[in-house]
Amino acid sequence: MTTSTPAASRASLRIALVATSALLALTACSGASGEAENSTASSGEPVAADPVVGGTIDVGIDLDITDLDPLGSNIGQQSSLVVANAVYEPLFVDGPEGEMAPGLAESLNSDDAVEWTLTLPEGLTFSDGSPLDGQAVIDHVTRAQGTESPTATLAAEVAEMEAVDATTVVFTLVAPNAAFDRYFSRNLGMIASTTATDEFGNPLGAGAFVVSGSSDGVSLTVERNDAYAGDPAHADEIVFHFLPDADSRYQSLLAGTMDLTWVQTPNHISSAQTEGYTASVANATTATAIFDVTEPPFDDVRVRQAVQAAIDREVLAEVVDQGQGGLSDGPLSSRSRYAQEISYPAYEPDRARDLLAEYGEPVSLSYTTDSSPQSMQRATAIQQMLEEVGIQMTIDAADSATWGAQLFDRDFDLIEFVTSGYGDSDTVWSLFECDSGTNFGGYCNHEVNEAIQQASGTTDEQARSELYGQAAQTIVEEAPTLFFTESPAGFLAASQVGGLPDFSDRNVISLLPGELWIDEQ
Amino acid sequence: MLLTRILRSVVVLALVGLLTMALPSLTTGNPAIAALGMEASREQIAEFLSRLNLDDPAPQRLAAWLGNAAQGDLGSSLTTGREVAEEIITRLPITLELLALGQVLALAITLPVAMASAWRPGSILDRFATTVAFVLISIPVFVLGLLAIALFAVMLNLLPATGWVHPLDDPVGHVRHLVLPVLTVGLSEAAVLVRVLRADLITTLGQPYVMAARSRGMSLPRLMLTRALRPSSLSTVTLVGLGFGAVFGGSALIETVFAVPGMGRLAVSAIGARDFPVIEAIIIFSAVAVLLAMAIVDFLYTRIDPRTRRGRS
Amino acid sequence: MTHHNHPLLSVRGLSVGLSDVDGRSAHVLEDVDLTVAASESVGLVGESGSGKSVLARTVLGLHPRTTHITAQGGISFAGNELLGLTPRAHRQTLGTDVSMIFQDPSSSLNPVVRVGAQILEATHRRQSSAHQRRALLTGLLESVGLTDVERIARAYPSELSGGQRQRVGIAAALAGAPRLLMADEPTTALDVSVQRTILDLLDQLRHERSLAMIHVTHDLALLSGRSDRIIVLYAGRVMEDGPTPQVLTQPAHPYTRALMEMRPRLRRPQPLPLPQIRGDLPRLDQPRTGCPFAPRCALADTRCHSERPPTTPVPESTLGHVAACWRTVEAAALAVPLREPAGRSHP
Repeated sequence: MTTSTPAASRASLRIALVATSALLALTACSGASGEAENSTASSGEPVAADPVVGGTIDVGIDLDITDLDPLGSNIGQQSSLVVANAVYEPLFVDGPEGEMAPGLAESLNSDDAVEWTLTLPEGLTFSDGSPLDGQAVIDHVTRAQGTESPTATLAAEVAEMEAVDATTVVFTLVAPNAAFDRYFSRNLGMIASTTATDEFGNPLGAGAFVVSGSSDGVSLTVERNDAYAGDPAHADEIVFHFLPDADSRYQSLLAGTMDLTWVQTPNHISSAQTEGYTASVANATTATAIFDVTEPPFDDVRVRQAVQAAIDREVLAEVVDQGQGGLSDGPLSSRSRYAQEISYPAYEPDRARDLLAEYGEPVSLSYTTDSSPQSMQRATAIQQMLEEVGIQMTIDAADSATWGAQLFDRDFDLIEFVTSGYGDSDTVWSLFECDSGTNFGGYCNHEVNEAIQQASGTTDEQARSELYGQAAQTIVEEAPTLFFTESPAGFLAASQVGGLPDFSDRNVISLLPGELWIDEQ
Repeated sequence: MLLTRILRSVVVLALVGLLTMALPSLTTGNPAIAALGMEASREQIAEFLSRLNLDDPAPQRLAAWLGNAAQGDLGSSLTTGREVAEEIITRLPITLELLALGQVLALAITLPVAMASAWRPGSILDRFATTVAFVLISIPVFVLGLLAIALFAVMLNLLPATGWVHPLDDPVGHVRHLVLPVLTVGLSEAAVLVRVLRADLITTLGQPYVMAARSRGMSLPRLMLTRALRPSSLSTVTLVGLGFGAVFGGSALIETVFAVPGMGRLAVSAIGARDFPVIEAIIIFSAVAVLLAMAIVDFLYTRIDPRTRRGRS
Repeated sequence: MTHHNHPLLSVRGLSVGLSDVDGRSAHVLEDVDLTVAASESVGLVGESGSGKSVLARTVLGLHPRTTHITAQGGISFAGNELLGLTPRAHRQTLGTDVSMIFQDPSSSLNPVVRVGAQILEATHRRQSSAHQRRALLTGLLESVGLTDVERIARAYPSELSGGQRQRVGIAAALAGAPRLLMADEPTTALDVSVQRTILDLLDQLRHERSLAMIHVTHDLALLSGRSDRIIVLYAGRVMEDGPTPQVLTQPAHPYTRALMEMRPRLRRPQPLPLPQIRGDLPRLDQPRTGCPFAPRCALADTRCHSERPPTTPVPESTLGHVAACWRTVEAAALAVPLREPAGRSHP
């Protein structure tokens, strides 16, 4: 039907190729250009200046937040916790080296890990002036026990609560749990009013901000809470924008549409630093893979050890995380307060082959993963490494819902499991406890179980640390779970934003938005 | 004839409805993880799933859905708890606006470019337009979106990179945020429409009746607009119509890149979370939208070409 | 039938080469001379490939935009030279000086535009009120024999019969009050029963409006009693040109004779097989030496093959009868009896 000559078509094609390459070069330019600013403003260093009062900070996060209630199911991922922190500042905050630092509360102590005493400062109020006292805390925990949220399981550990006086609550637990205080750095500790809600249906909080605007699927706006008990927030207003696509979210930062953006892509972290942006990231997620240890051949420890020995974690760190982050040496993460020398079995392909020979039968496995680009890269690299020792691996790429279902149904050989849960060294052991509902692989070692349960009842941190160390060492040697890498996640900030803490010494992104300021000149 | 059309549509919708209701048993994965979170216990998951009656036979589920829908109840989202009807009512106009403006832009680009190209096939203008169309067709629409952001937002700093503003809150901001997504949709559509319209115009211009009109002294521009465009527009009208039929999810890529809170994003996140009430409503309404779009296109055919008016001749 | 000193249309030595977008070219017309006087009817006869349609289109300047034409020679209309005009200037003549009636009325009318609008297309440059246009439309439709003016003006072509459509085509060609009609095989696509009616209509209109006409056809028989002169075209060259009675009764060119022989005669038993001219048309992409008809001519000698015969008056015929042939004398003397003089009344 068209009447272009063959010559014209060839010319068109040539021009098309040139034009496409030019356009692609354009994007490459915008990603990597710019004078290489001196990298003192690189990862971790806050902008050294005096806080500026006032202004609006635009923050781009990756999730859609429909319901801010800390006891709802929307608030769980790290970026959503940051938003919730603004309105429901938790009683305690994750500090360096996994320490619990005071948030709204003063202290939470116990001698026997069963009876805990919580002390609040005087004069805490919700944003409507109603008191945030011991009773309010009890009401909050009671509500948690009644919801269907994941927090209910944690709240169920509380047998009794009593408000001794206005600022003191005594908790009595069902069973000893030396890490009970950690629960109050997340949802359980984000005390929400049980008596009043704001105009958007969210319960009132006692944080540095209150919700002032909400646009479905678009953004959530908070403004300074004048009734806040602590130092007033620097910024007048923070707008949290829901930007699901990582690439365009990064571009929003470059374009100046956003002042601060959530980042989990290694590429973006490195190129942002080249362009002079501040990257405040922590090794917040750990990439692991869980064996189904109840079915052959992975019920045999030699086979698991063979797979473990065949994998070069340095290569994974290089390929998937582009050299950022670090290696994961087991359930105790690198910035955990219990971090210690754990001897993770080295990369030794020969040892792998020997173990397989000893096992005697050919081994093949299917590796279940979700289809995100980083997971696929990791899976492909592992596939090649296993092939070199004679293990045939097929990649079972599912979408996240299918992955989740397979995980809970134990319908896998080896399933990838990337989680921020290892940021909390006290609560993560449920992955390995014999009767735990979240022990996806079915691992059960009674000595490890003993050590974990003993530790949870020990208030002596040193003793606890030793017990955890023993458990960790056994776990990495028996390899029911393979530990690969710790990956960075956190925030990128434009130069006009200040107050971002240095997260490099911890495994959790615990940002209190009240500390941020913006210099809008 | 109208009766046949209605009957056919009912059959199509019934089939779509049954397939949709059979989805939970046909797909892997379930809504529990997305709805309850990773820390949910096995009991919570089991109890949650059993309440949903996902294993009921498809005709039964369809009947229940229709019964509720007739009363305006489309169920509630399993992840957000909000009513599905409300979500759709909120998001549909946003996507419609984006698609409609995009199609208008596409036509505004297509008509002059196709006419100019068909006027002198092989000319420099024609070759330039053909090349640009090639390039645009080969670039996936979300890459085009990212390129637009890189150029207009990052390099030139003219427009916001992402986001969406309610027109009543900030009319100017609303327009500024719409420019890049509409531009992306418009360019992407126009590339295809130009190829089609140009080819049809060239065919028409070769017809004896065009030469006859010329023999009566008609100038080519006037001829193009009043005599050649109409008989050449059938394929283009079809494409534009089908483009609208995709309103229930076809714009997912654009909406994700530009963070526009429309139906497309709702569809994608619902599918990822296995949020079946939302998925079911979207699929069924999508079928209705496509059928409606095709009916409108057929009607437009009769307006454009009187030979189609007599039905089966 | 008189020859005026100032012909309406004068084509002199016209040679036309065409090349399409793929680069193929052909010499379609070579050194064609043709004149049409005011009110004169000329029949232009040739088989397909003879160049008759190209000639018609070149006069009107109606070649497709994708065709590149090179033309030499001259075409003048009422004293104005047409060749070499810009397309825009040439367009000014269309519809108002010269207009065309097309062969296939089902494809030469725009299917999605109402017939009334198409008829008036040639008048759009005239300033006229709606009332005037109405009157003109009514007059045109009535003059072509369509009396149900209201219905037909609002109808689409698909709602009309073949004969009605061709009448509409004629009306459209007349709307601009042209002085020369180019009728390109106006009856070929019509039923036999309708053909004569249409031809009668054309004759009538010609006399009423003093129109000159070029009737392009492949069928000689249609021209007897209707056209004043006949021009025979073969492979892009004029073979014979003369008054109709002469050409039909005393064809001077072997090709014309052969054409006459090919006509199936309805009243006689047909010689079987039907006579055909052996051979094919010459290739058009190369200039030709000698007479183009030579390869197929029974009378051709060596000179015919190598030297192009000039157009010379036919001996023993009336003034204005010329032919391009070396052997006209012998051709005339050929004992090929033509059974009856071509007359108007065939039962």
